Amino acid sequence: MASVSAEQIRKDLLEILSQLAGVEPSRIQDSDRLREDLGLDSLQSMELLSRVSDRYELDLEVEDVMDVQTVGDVVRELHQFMTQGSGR
Amino acid sequence: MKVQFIYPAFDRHAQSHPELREFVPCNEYIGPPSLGIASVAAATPPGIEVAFVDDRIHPVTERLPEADLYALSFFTPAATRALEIGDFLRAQGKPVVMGGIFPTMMPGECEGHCDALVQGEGEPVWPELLADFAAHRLKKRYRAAAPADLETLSPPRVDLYLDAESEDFAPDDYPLQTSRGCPFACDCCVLPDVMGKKIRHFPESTVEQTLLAFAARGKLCSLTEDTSFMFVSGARRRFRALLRALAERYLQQGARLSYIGCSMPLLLNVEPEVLSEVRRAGIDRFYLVCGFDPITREAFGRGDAAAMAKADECIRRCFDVGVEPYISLLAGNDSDDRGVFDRILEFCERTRIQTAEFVVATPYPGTPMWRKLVTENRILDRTWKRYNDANVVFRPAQMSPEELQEGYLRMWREFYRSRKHLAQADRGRRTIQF
Repeated sequence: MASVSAEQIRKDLLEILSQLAGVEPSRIQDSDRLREDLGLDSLQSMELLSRVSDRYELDLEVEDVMDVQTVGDVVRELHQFMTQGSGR
Repeated sequence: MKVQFIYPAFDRHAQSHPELREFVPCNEYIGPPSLGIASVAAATPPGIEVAFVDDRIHPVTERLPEADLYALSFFTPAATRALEIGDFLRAQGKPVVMGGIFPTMMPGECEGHCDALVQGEGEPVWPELLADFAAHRLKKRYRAAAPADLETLSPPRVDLYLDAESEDFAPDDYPLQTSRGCPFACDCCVLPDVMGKKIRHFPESTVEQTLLAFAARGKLCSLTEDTSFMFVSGARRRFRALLRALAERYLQQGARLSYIGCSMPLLLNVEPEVLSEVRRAGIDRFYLVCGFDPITREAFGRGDAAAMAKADECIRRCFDVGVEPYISLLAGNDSDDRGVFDRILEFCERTRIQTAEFVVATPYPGTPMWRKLVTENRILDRTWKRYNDANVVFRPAQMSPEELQEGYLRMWREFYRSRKHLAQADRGRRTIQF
């Protein structure tokens, strides 16, 4: 598992999000909700997590990301997972 | 001691409806047995002889191989025949063990037809069961306390299948299993209940040995695991590693995948590089399943335009990357109105799909769909051999059972009416399982 800063995670996440949601990275905020604000459906959210997990070699479980709703939630969960492992 | 494994027969589409042979200009492909028996056989302790017979090719009630113990592994479509074989064997005083998806989900249906049954994965309890049998203390039921540790399992005894091939039966491909378990709870799927909700991966060495064992005998492998495309437990990463290993090593050693199967919308957002890796791995066909996911249910069941555009996009992505889509299209979901058949046929024409299969929604015992329909008293038929995707066994929500049955046959008939040219296509393109 790679050790990556929260800032790098955010940068990578915005790049993937912009591809999936068709939104410029500069227009995406940490407070944006994946579904309601960015329009991601469940398959797109899964694809987002698949690309991130692939990039950072993470073995995330469904429970690890069950509660994420916003871009900031994803950054925090991923950073915590990479620094502390699954908290569940 | 000799254990005789039996893979009981079941009806395919063309056996349930022989008229399909008139409509469909394709070769009927009798597919390989599932990996269940090969996997359990590999867990047999040394010193115990094992043999395999495929009842579809060599009916065991006509010529019974001699053995000390008979072990049947089966899913729902084969349950009618399996219970019949169990009765046949026991009438002769032969001991019978049953396992697999159906005995796991419907043990009460099996108990009167066998001496012992195994629920869940067989490998963890198989040595104990054999020891109990040898000591004349066979228990009625066996169930592992925990899912099998895939790191410790021996590779499946695929040699049993390959050695059982004959002029009458020599499948081109066999299933490859890279993982077990799924964390999701799709209403038509029994897998999480049988294999658990946590994805467990086989070690690379096991996958490699299986691939190369098939390749050594000129066989392809098929991979049908929706989880391959998902983030959970690193499944996507491992899938991509397998694709790269195929491209870089296994192809040169003769190993190839005949197709990758998955729920169709999983292709919708997958990054283009993954699709390119599929192509570089020498894979030229996707087996795409529709009707289990929200997108194709909305598209075909209700005619939702946005969902239909997404379904079209999945097919376009396949053609763009040069991987032929072979589609499995299902009708009979509760969300399907009477227009579902026309919408499916229009989709096929619009997207220029060349080969497809058509399926009746089927409430397999143990699935959430089964439990819902039982609760709603909508199960019409418990003849298990009719649970094979080709027969209506429940009362549909928005049409009559007869309308669903006729709609299923009409899809086969009309789709292949304009594809008679397939009869002249090369064997690979004109061969489908139906």
